[in-house]
Parts: sequence; structure tokens; C-alpha cells
Amino acid sequence: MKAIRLSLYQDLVNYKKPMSFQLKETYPLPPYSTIIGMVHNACKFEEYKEMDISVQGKYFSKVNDLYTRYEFKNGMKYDKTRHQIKAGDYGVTRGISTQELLVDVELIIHIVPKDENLIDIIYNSLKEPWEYLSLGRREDIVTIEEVKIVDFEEVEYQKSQRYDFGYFAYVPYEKKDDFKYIKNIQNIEVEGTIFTINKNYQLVNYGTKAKPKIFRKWKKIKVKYAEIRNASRRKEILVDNDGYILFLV
Amino acid sequence: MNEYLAKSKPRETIQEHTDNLVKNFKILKEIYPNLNINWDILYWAVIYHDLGKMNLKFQSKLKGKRISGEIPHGILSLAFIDYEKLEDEEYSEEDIRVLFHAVAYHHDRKFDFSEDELIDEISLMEKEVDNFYYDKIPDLIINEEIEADYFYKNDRIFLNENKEGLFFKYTLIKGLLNRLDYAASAYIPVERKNDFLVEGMEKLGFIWNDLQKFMLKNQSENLIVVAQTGMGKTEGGLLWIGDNKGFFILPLKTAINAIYDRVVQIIGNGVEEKVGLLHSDTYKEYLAREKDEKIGIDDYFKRTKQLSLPLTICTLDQLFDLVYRYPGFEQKLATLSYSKIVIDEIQMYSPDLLAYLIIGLEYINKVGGKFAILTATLPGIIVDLLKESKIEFKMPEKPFIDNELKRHSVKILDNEIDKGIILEKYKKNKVLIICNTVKKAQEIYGELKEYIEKERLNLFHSKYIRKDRGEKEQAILEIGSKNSKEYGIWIATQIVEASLDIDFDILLTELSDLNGLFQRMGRCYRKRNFEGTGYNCYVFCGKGISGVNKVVDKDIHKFSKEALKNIDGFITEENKINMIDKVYSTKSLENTEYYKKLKKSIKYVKSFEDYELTKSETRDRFRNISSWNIIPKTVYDKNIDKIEELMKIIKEKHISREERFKAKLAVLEYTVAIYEYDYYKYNVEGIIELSKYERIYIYNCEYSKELGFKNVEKQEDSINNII
Repeated sequence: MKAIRLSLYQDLVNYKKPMSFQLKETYPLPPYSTIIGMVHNACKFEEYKEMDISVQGKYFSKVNDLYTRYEFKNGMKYDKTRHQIKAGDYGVTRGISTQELLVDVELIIHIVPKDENLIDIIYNSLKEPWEYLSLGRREDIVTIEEVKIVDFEEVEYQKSQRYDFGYFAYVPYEKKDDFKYIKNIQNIEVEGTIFTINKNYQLVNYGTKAKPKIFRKWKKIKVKYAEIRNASRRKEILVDNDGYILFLV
Repeated sequence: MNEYLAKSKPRETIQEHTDNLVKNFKILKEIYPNLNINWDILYWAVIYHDLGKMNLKFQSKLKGKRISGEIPHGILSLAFIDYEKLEDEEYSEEDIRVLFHAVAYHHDRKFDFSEDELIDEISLMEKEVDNFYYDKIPDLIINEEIEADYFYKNDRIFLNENKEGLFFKYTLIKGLLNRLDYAASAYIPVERKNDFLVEGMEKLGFIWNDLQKFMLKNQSENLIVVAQTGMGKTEGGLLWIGDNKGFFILPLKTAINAIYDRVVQIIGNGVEEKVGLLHSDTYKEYLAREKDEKIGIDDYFKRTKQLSLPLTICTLDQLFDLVYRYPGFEQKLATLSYSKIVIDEIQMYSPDLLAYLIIGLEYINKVGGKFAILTATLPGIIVDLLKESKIEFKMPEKPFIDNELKRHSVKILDNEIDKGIILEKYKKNKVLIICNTVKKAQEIYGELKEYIEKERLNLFHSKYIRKDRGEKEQAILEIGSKNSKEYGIWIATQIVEASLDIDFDILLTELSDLNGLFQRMGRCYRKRNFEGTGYNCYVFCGKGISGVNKVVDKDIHKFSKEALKNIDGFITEENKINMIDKVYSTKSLENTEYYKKLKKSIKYVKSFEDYELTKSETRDRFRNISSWNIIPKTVYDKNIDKIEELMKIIKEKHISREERFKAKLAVLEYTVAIYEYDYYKYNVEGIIELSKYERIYIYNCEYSKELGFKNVEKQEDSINNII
């Protein structure tokens, strides 16, 4: 089986958690939907191409910083006593707020399109993108360390296999017992963090045909986020030919 | 073949040391074949536990040259475990994991090495394996890595509600491995069979009473039994233990010493192989009893400390500190898993110690140990808390009491003790006055001094130097003995409440709480009928009584006072038990500070993560008493020559442990322990260092053999000096 593997670096980045406004929080790794979006943009795909993603990596630290926040409400008319910006007839408030930023992020991303024919297209689009790639906010430019087409296969180890990259990963919840995690912090057991992460969406019309009200309905994936210590023996593990494990979703 | 040492003093190879463990393993299995463990796993733990010592850094250390970067040998030993073979032999993965963890943590060390360093060190050992032969594992292998399914760095088995079984399984194997290891290192057998107690009890030739028959009949049950003092609870406890490993837990050292002496009488010869006493002064007590025959004190002491004797009489803190689950607690819990534990005088424990007791029993119950609570008074609150912890036990329908005796006729007085009533009741009787505080006792003594001849008036409390206290104790025992025709007045504090076998004619006491009161009444008309008219116990509940809220909880004091309101005249044992039931029921105590403290303590202890506290941190928390050993300045000045001579012996290097210990004890005879709130820094005039950790302060205070210790109040100029 084939996958496109991306090795990326980003210096200060926010992978925004939905619904965090006062403090714009970040996920510890980019969510699947963000990665899929980046790939689709790079390839100029106009509709969703099914693909499985695996993401792992680490960051050095996390800081909080200010950013400019634009607030507006549906249909709010411009009022010069309260809005700083006039956009057509509408008003926008400009202020500041705080956001979390991950520092020095290293990422390993595997992309496995359902349609194998897309492998080359995606590979080429990432190799020579038509514009800069960004992951996270629009301004979160990525440094591409490597793009590579790799083979991967399912293996069953007879002895537990150490995974010493020091990478954290989103592990699909139903596969969490296939791995062991570095889970002791000062002898206190921590099990890792469970997230439900957006992957792709369908547009669903909640209105009528005449008066459509279209919303995105997200497919959400339950994952465990933790530092991988090793792959357990006697489990089916996906590994590429350079020894990276794939945690495909 | 190379020689790989397990230890250098005395020189012993890994094989020899392991053989010693195997020998002890066989002893343990022979005496307790029904232990709830997988014996094979324990056997493999024994075989593998020290193989990691094969690494050259360890070997070099034994030869006196330390090389940095040594990895704890327990971890290295794991590389030798042939888990694939064990799997083929169909041991469960859980059992193999327990084996790995028991070996890894048989010494609890800090893991300050990286995984790569570990792998390097293991590969270095591969060369050594070829030079190593051990007949018990002829086909020794070494794995390249430690299988992470079973153990990896910082992996731990925790007490977790879903995996409780695993935790206790591990605790037993690890604890027993430690026991075998320490016994082998000390060259003593890990256990001795109890094959003497039943015979010894029969030889007494007693006809057992109802209580004792009940204990005999229910040997295999957990029990809570209420029985009045004098019903032969000690014998009952021993009958219940039978020919099993047993622990007798009592709150006070004096009581422990007394019961020890009694048990020694029952079992006759060979005491040092059969029964031990274990509290902070074990060595001293053994020394004191060594008079006639040499019993090899050091080995006897070791056997006692390692819990390897069939019968041990001890304080709660010697065993129940295991509730904090500090690294190393496993030995105690593992030992208790095949023991029977008798708990006496439960009413003496403060809320925090009760909390330890309840949690301890919960753990012990889970691993298969048995307990019997034998007590004269049983606060209902304890029964409820044990039920709450889902511990099953049996209680006889009725308490064992003897209502025939009419011992106490009680008068409740709504004022405070004064000299008038004392002098009125004295009439050349044996009069015992018990106050709640030392200060009050000293005051009353002062008031009575003018009226009573000096030889007939005595004071006894905890604040005497040990030497004087010992003499006082002897004197009160003499006058308090049944056969003594002497008379006089003794003023005391609650130190006479328990376990002093004394019998006075008249008791005048301040009310502390009901439990304490009935204990105090036990010192008056101990085993005889009161045939006179009027009263023999006077209880003072008035406003001015001392120590309320300080030595006794104020709510409990209030409830006790209420319960006594309508008492006037004879009071039977049944009355007492009913009153206790009422005052100490969960319902009545629910809103008191006492109950809150008890519940809080339970929560507090459980809130600690396993292995979070070290043993010494546990010690600090366990007995929350901070006291200072002081020598009053006047005493010091008077005995300065003697003390200096003793100090010379203590500092002497070439002298036996026994000699030095004796000298230390002799110095301690001049000390009195005072509590934190009595301790003023600026009263300290000097310091004597017995050892790095033991200090005695020479303290500026009033002291006389007559009155005991009295603090000197803060002096103006000394305060100024400090500021």
C-alpha cells in the first residue's frame, strides 16, 4: 500500500479548537479536517476526495500572545459609536484577544487517498505547490522538510517494538490498546487526552428547497492523544518502509 | 567460570544468595501451603531477582570501586526472564507482568537512566552470561530488550478500582520476595511454624468461659467482640489465633510488655523463636529480660523486626503505616495476608489512628488476613465504618459481661474537684484522683500538701523523667495491688487509665469522656463487689474542669455529661455498654468534630497516590506527635558526671552495640518528653547529641521528683533577646 508522507516544520502556530473565543485555544496537533483542507487547496480539488490521514509530531512549548480580533454579528448595521470598521452597510468591531501558539512544531503526516490514482497528483501538488502551504491559520506557513511516496504494510511483531521518535499522535480510540504510551509523570499515571476531532463534512439542508438553510455536518473521530512509547507485540500495526507507524483515520 | 558476587560482607555469590532464598521459599511454602498466590511466580521471582548483579559496574562496586552510571540491578535482572518459555508453559500474561514488576521493584530505586543506556548495559551483560552457571536455570538466556508488555521504565502497577486484583497480586509477590530476600541476607528463617500455642493453652488447664468458647468456635471468622475487662480477653484472643501466625495489637507500650510477659509464661521455653514484642523500645525490653540467660538478642531482635516470629505483640504504628502504601509496604501487607490479627482496646485510639485502623483492615481483608476486635467498649461508629468499607465480620448477639458483680456506685457532681471533698472521703482509704491535665493534678497536689502526711500523698503523670516515672509506677502498682494493706492518696492523669493493674477504694475523677471514665473506673474495685453504702466513684462535671477541648473533644464531653445526668448509685456493666452505644453511635456523633476528623483522615490517607510518600514521610504523618526529649537543667547539673561518663561510652567507637545501647538508655533515664506547645526555644541551655538523629535538650525549667516538670513562663528579657 502506498501513502504520501509529509515531514513539516512550523515555528508558531495555532490549530484552533472550535468554539474557543475568549482565549483562542489550540489542539496539540493539527486536526484531520485542517490537513485535508490543506491538501485539497494544494491540489485545487473542488470536491471532497476521500482520504485517510495519520498525524504525529511534537512541539517544544506553548505560549500565549495577542492577536487582532474582528467581531461582527449577522446583519448588524454600522454604528460609528461602536464600530471601528465599516464594511458596506455593516459594522465590525476591532479589538484584541489572546491566542495560544505552539512553538517549534515537528509533524509527520501520512496521506492515503482512497483512489490510488490520486497519489501522484497529490504528491506533485505538494512537491511543487501553486502557492505557499499553510496549516492552521492562514498565516501559519509550513516549512516542507520532505515529501515522499512511501510503501506501508501491516505487521505483527513478536516482541514489542520501541518507537523512539518521541512523537505524540492521535491514535484512533479503538486502536489505543495496540500501543504503549509514556504515561508516567513523576510517578503519577496519566492516561493521555481524549479528543473528538473533525474529519470531513457533508452539506445538509435544514431548510426547504425554496429557502435552503445549509450547514456542515461533521464526521467526528474519537482519538487518544499521547506520547507513543512502543507498538505492542501480536497486534496488527501499520508501518511504512522507514519505520514510521501510521495511525490512519 | 567467573565468580559473581551478590554481596561482599560476608562474601557471597549470586548463586549462594539465591540458594538461601530458595531455602526460605521452601520453608514458607511448607508452613503456609494455602497462601493465595501463584507459588511458581514467586519461585521465578526468587530465581531471577539478583541476576542483574552480574553487570560489571555492580561487581566493581562490591570490590570497592564505584563506576558512575550504574543501573539498578533489579531492572537489569528483567532481561534474564525467559518470558516466552513462561508463556509456552501457559502462565497468564498478568502473572508474568507481576513477576517482572516484583523483580524490578524489589529494591525501590530512582530510575535516572535513559532507555538507551539500559539497552547498552544489557548488551554488555551478554558477555557475562557465558561465564555464569547456575544449576537452577541451566538454560539461562538474556533478552536484548525488556519486553514492554511486561515492564518499561517507570511502569507501575497502581491501586485502581478496576484492577484491584492485579495490585494485590503484585503486592503479595513483591512483599514475599522482600521477606525471603531480607531473611536470606540476615541468615534467619523467614517464618517459624506456630505449633505450640494450642498446646500451651491446653496446659493452662483452664475451663474456658463463654467468651473464650466463642472465640474457639469462630477461629476462621472476622470477629468484633465486646467483653468486659476481666473476662480473659487475652486468652480469648490467643485461642482464636490457635496454631497460626498471629499479631496482637495494643495501643500502649506498657500493655504490650505486660501481655508479652503473660504469653511468655503460657508458652514456656524457647521464647525467642516463638513470640516477640514490637514497638519503638523493643531492644530495650529484650535487654531488660535477658538477665538470666543469653538468648542472642541481636538475632532475636532481627527476627522480631522482620515479622518472622509466629506471634508478635505490637503497636498499631508498627504495621498499619502500610495504609499510606509507601515503597516497601508490601512486605507488611503480604505477611498479614496469612496472619490473624487481634486488636484490643480500640477505644484508646484517636480519630486519625482509627482511620488508619479501618483502612488497614480493609486492605488486610482484601488479601485474606483475618482480624478480631476484642474490646471492652465498642463505639458504634467503628462498626458502621467497617460495614461501609464492605468488610464482613461476625458479632455475637450479646456482649460478654458479668452482671453479677456490683463494682461501682457512682455520684455525679456538678462542680470541680476540691480539697474539701477529698479530705472528707479520705478516711485512710486508698484514694485515686484523676485529672484531665498535668497542671490540674499538680495544683491539687499543692492544695493537699498541708493536710496529708508526705508519705501518704503522691502525684503521678507523664511529665517525670523516666527514672522517676519508673519508680512512681512501681509505687502505685504496690499500693494498688489487691493484697496491699497500705493507704494513701494518689493524684494522677489519664496515664493510669489503661493497663495498669491497680485497685483503689475510692475514685474521684474529672469527666473526660465516657470511654475514659469507664476505663478510670476500672482502677477502682477492679474485681470485687462494693458492699458498702454510699458511693465509691465520684465524677466531677462542673464548669472548672480541666482539659476540655484540649485532651477531650468538646462535643463528646458534652454528650458524655448528658448520658450521665440521671446516674446515681450502682451502675452495671450492661448499663455502661448501653451508654457507650448511645454516646458513640454514628447518629449521635455525625455532626461532631471528632467524626469529621475521622472521615477526613480516611479521605486524606486514601488521597495519596501509591508509592507517593517515602517510608520516613509516612512515619512523620503516622504519629502526628511532635515531642522533644529534654533533661531539666537541675537534673543535668546534679548528674553531670554520670551523664558525661555515659556520653563517653556512646561516642566510643570500639564497643559493642549492646554496651552502647545500654549507655544510651541510661542517659535517656534522665529525660522527659514534652510536647510542642510546652516547648520554648529560649529555654534550651544546651544540646546533647546521642547520634546524628537523636538529640536531647538541656532545658531550663522547674523540676522536682515531687511535682515533676513545670515550664518556666516566657521571660521578658529572653523575649527581648530574640526580637
